[in-house]
Amino acid sequence: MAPTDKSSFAPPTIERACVIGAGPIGCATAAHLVRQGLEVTICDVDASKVAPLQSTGAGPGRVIIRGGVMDGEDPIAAASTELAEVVPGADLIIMAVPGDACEHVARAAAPHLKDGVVVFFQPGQTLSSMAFLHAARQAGFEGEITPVETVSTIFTGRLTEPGVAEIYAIKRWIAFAAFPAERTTVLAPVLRALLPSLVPVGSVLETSLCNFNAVVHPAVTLLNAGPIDNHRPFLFYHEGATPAVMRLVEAIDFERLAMMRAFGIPSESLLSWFNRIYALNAPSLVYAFRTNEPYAEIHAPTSLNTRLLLEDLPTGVVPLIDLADRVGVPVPAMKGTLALANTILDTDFASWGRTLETIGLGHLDRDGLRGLLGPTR
Amino acid sequence: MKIAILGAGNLGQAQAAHLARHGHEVRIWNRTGARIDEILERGGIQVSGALEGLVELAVASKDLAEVIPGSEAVILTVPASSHEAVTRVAAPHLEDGQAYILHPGHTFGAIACQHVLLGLGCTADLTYCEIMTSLITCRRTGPAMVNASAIKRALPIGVFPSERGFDKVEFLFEAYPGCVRAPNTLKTSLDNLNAPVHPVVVLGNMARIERGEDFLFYWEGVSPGVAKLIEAVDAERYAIGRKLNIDVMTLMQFYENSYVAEGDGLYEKMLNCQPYADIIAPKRLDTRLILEDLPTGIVPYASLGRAVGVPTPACDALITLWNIVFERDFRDGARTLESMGLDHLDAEGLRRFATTGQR
Repeated sequence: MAPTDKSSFAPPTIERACVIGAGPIGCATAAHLVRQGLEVTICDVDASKVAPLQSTGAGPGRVIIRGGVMDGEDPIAAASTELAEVVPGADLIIMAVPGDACEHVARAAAPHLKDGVVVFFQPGQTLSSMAFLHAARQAGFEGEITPVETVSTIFTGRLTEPGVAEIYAIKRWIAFAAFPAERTTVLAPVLRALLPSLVPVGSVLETSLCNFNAVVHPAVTLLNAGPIDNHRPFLFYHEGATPAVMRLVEAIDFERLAMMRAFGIPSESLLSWFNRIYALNAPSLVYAFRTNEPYAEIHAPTSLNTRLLLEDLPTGVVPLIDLADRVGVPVPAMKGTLALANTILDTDFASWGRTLETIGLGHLDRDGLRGLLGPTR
Repeated sequence: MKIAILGAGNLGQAQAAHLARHGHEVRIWNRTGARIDEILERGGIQVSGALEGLVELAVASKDLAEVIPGSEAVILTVPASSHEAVTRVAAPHLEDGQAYILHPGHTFGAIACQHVLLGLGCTADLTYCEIMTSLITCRRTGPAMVNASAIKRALPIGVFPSERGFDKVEFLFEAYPGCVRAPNTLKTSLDNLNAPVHPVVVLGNMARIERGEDFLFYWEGVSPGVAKLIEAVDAERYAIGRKLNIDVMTLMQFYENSYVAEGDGLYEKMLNCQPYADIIAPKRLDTRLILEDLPTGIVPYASLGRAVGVPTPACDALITLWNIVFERDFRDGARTLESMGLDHLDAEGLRRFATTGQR
């Protein structure tokens, strides 16, 4: 699994980027990278999202950003539903797809990956870096890959129509780490030149344990399951994040913090992190989530078949529970939330979700994980 | 018969009126005095609906000494979470030969009250009885005024110890025709149908209840996903019943038989259950739907599951999450086999205990 000679890694030159996923995050990242002088291509499985980004007789396709914080129209070099058409030649791949698509994209993209490619997960969920690497290797890719995880998306927004994203906020202080961990500092100047919000941290174990989506989304969704399932609209956080609901979120966050301590990794609470990236000074999670301005626009999903469960359980809570078991940290809030969500959705996320086993790390204990994934800060 | 009714809420009042109409000498008591004063001022209980008129009672008192001694039956119509507390204050007045009836018993009401009385050294020889759920659908309409919209039928009534038979509570079957003789109180305890429903529906609608939103608790709060979780808890209850040789009433059967609700699955049946049409959601989370139904329903189910070797992941997860939300441990003081001194018993031992009452 350990791919390379750790000492020989030189900072890559990044001229071409391929963004996988034409949702709001993909569109915003694409626009931003174009403005940094990169040639950017986009891929999405949904042809309707790709269509407005494709060039026509009238000129190149354009991605349109509105919302006030980074408005503009930026030319896209190529857009396609086929990875084979946009991945080859990319120095940087931006993964802006649901976490559970990671392994699938890795297998499909493997034949087209450029040697030395940097694969950037925004966000990395829990161990998307290692999942991608493992799947690409299994699919036969033998070249160099440096997967990079962030703890969160850099942009917050929504797609108003295909090719048009409304971006409400650009977050500051987004932690990132590479695998192997030594590459993080080598990549930092290159990536920060493109995305100044990025801040290097110790390892992908650290970014993976800072999977805040997994902490927040399933709990808030579960405790609002009735109105979501009955299609009763409400503001997901401003109305859905009541004190009782946030007590469960906080319990899950405490379990996550205990895991970080058990791994010997510096930890930061959800509240502290939230205040930092949104530039708030909220005294509690309830206050933070119910008054955060960008959340005024975030509506609850209208079905329980939502990424907030279907992505954040199998690529977040499930691998987090696996990691917790390896360090002997009890996580009843995570397990209780998972158990009830399993029942409501009539599935068993642990049976098909991401575990250390499925990403080729099943043999590792606490020290093995620390040793492979990298040093702490 | 002389019958004491402890608890003068809507159910206690409706029950008192109904039994008085059947010719019994009814004495009613309430822990807080206002309800008793109202009955005394009105000179009885004004009923409407399935019963009509002003019904006079033999005694309405705040003093247990005036209602329990000399009564052949003592009926508790208080929230299940108060069974133990009321039993503690009733203990000095209880007499040999009385029937001690929990209406309803929720889960383990009879065993829990026996345990309380043993602990207090009360030696009165009682026949305990659990009624599966409230026999009367009723609501308060004013001071000492109650509307009884329906007298339910076909509800199981169980006796503890079951080997004593139903002699002491025969009057219940006369007053409520169609009620069924349960083989023991394990049956009535496992047929606690509030427990699989209430804590789940509140959980799935937690934020809107905490915000005080107006919505129909069942018709708008239950969704297909929420119903799946209810079914999972119900399936655990059913599996426990099989280990105990108890033919548990499933929620599906309950909606079919008691409410004649149509529909294919549980979700449809709950949506077609007409009596739910005007049931509004509570406006806060510290409601009986949690404070009563966890410690006297879900927690005992989970405890029973452990004793008889049935996994209860849905009950366990519910307890975990509700503990977190309430920042307390609902297992503390709840009806577990441990707290009732029965944790040494397996399925066979529990059946034997339900029959003989011998610890």
